Amino acid sequence: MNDVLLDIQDLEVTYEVNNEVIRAVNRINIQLHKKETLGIVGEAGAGKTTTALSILGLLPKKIGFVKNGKILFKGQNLLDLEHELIRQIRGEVISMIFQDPMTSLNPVIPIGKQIAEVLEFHNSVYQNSLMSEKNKQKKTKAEIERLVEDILQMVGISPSRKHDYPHQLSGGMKQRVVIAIALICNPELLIADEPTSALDVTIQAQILSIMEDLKDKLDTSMIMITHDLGIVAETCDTVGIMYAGQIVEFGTIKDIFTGDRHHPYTVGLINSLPDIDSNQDRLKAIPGLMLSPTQITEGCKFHNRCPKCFDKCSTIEPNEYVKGSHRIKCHLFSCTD
Amino acid sequence: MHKYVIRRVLLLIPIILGVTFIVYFILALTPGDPARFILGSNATDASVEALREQLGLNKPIILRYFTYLAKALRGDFGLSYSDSRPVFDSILVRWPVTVKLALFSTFLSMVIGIPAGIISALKHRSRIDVSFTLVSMIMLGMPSFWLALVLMLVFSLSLRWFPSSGIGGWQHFILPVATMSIGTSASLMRLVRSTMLDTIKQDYIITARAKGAPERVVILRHALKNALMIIITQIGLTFTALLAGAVLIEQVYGLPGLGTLTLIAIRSKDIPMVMGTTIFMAIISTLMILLLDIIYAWIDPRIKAKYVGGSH
Repeated sequence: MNDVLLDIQDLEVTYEVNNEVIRAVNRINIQLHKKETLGIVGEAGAGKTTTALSILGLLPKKIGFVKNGKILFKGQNLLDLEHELIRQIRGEVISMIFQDPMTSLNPVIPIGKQIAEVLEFHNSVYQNSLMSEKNKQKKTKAEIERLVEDILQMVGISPSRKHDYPHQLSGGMKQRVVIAIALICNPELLIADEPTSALDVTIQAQILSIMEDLKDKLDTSMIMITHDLGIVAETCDTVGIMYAGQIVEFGTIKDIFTGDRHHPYTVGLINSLPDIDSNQDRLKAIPGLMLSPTQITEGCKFHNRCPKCFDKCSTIEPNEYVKGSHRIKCHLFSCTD
Repeated sequence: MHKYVIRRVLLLIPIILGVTFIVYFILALTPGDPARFILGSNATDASVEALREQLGLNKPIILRYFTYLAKALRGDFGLSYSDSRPVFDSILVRWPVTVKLALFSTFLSMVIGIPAGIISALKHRSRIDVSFTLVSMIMLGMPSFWLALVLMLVFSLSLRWFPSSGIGGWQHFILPVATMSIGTSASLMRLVRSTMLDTIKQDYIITARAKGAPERVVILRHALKNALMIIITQIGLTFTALLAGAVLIEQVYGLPGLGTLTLIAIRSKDIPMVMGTTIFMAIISTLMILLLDIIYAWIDPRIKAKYVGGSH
């Protein structure tokens, strides 16, 4: 448990569009240990994808800015790296699976070539301290082709289809290609941004099991971004619940799904899952909307929707309640203990 | 792919037939008697009538149209009313000037417009982008006949770098090509800019960056290839517009091309000549568009797939 691979400290990201400042991520702290899977859960606009993009330095230029904090990967701050060094890391050491396989593949390039490209981009021997563990040699064209065929086989696509274009594949197959792209260099960290949200439920399970298998086979650590607590329960070791750019609750899967102390938002999320045993007509939604990230608000970001809100919630930002691996950012607990 | 090309070539037939039909009827239905034009205002009514009979102008228009078409299909475009020489021969002498003019101008517009558009898009909202956009607006706003006169004044009359009119060596093409490409390169630049801006926002561009693609590859391989779809269509339209625009520019610079020929023929109601030049220009434009459509299909696998027949 002590082998920390990724340590995000006090990360703060803003988007600045037309003189309006959008606070997408507000001082979050996340740790990921080697070979573990971390889930980041939250509703749309909570800052999950922004966090992921900041890790790879892929925030939109001139719009997204990291205002504060550190992203330590094996002890080295990724935010300090030069442009070329971070490029070398992308796809090779840290890679990413995107949400919508329909749009994340280039429509005019055959899929085999899109996979092979990753190897070509990283086909030189770098002087990059973060890659020291990898023993690399320049690959020939034939070797690259063979690796592409191997990975296609691994994700369950016949290698004979490597000349196909994305439009010839179904959504599930496209996502397999995206997974192949992400994993062909055996990355140490895989960031999956809602990898199954755009897929049919039946395909979701297949894709998740492929990812799980490959992750185990390749010894990859993973960040799983999702809004689906079911996926988290199935795949993750630790979980961060994200709301309005903050991690409101963080802990091991046991901390989050058991025990009696939880952030009211986590409770709301869990309650909103339909219960097959009860005869309810309506889903239990959390009432209200997330505060606009352009507003500067005092107090807890969740207070306007919180069923347990009391006087100081709307004025004072809560401190974190920490117990072992479990952290909750809520006034309900910060004064006790 | 063959299937696609054959289909497109077959489509040319109705297009060109349509063009001949429209032009023939417009010429026939507009006022003015060709026989009167040929003989002049002093001729007697009887001699005009005799010439009308000789030229077949007294027959019903539909009949005349089909007679013309039947001859034209055999390669006989008739004799010019004004100099009684075969229309085809005049066209043969003059077409290279016009097509060269349009091709060079298209090429120059691409050389200026595409890189400028890409740079502008990549440096979105920077000083370069703003100044490029500003310059392109000024370029678009200038009417070509006025521009032609200004260029002539500056570069031939004052500086004496290039000849102001007539045909000769390559120097004679510089001012006309410059005049014609200024507007089109500006519009091409604006299109490339907006297309590239749109393309670099696509998810697959982020995927390419996340794969570790160097910025050069992201732009040239991933973004430009997609943006090219729209750009190619625009290039085809640019070429045809330039072909038509050549009529005016040839006039200003005194170039003996198809444009000048057509204009004179229209003024003197020289029906065979107008028909001949129009059909020729229609064929050139449609061939160019066909060529670009084939390139388009070659770049975009989704178009190609429709015609190759599902391999999967």
